[in-house]
Amino acid sequence: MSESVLLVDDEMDFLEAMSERMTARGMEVTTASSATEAIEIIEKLSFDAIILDFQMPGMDGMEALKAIKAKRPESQIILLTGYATVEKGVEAMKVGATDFIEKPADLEALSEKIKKAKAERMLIAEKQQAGKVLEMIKKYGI
Amino acid sequence: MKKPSEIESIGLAFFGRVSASISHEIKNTLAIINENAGLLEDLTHLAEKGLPLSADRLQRLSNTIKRQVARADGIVQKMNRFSHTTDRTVQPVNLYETTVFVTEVCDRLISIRNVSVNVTPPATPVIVSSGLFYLEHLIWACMDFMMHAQRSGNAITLTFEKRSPGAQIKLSGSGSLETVSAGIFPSQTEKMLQESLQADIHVDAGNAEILILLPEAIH
Repeated sequence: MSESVLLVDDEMDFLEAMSERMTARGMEVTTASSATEAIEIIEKLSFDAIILDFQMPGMDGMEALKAIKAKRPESQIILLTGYATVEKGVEAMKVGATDFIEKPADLEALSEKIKKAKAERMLIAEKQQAGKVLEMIKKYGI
Repeated sequence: MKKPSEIESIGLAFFGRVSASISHEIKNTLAIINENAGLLEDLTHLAEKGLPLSADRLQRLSNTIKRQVARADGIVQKMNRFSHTTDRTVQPVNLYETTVFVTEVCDRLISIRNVSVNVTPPATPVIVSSGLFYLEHLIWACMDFMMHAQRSGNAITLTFEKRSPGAQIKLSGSGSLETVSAGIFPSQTEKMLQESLQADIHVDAGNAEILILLPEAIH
């Protein structure tokens, strides 16, 4: 099954090219040109991975990350950053990012990260499901 | 290692912040060029498998790449000009042109704030003899504070006037700065810049105005 991806970047030329390349590789791609637009989209749709530009006009990257995690805590967010340092990465992970990659990104490397994000998300969903089943068993007994 | 003076340290910090912002802009253009080059590669592979290539498509991709190369060149020119502001300690400075340049160089930092910056040209050039780099820093520091104090979607306006003697730069916003400015602005950074430039900073918190008074020439 193909990965569903939300691509968030304020640069339209980047969004169009990357979106087309990802679609050609079998991914289902939705695009947003701002963090605000991305937040509106995730209210209605869920994705295997959200690729988020870390520095966009209007909303600070960290704020955007936190806002998305608040709406969809299970979101797997991969940050696109202009300067990837270990410190920045750790800071972003603490707030809930799954991974980060420096621009310009190698699409094959990014695709691998998206596959991992999807696998992680499925694992979380399975655990949540298992948790619900256990709850039901405890509640109603066997 | 000799310790830099305080004014040198804050100057380095400003230079670093602007350089980081500009390098991020360059990264963005490289990312676009990279993706479009990748797209060309993908289309080539498809053509090898027999899928036809659209000349119009190729032209559009080429135009995008050329546009981004021109954009990157503009950004590097900005960076170059900014780097050269440290060439001379004191020089004649056109306040309007310098402020416009500061908004261009700090464009990305401004866009993150989501506050519009309007720079109003004076009727006649307003020129002082000053330390260009530190003046750029002071203008940015005042703009940054003013934007921080404004609500998202608001605007700040900068105007320029000759005084006898010297000149002034006025930054005007909406609402008031009272809840933000007390004890925060001018901070140690602005005070050091003020001293270095022999300038005065007046804050009218109630009317959301900052006035930078500059001497005609610094000694």
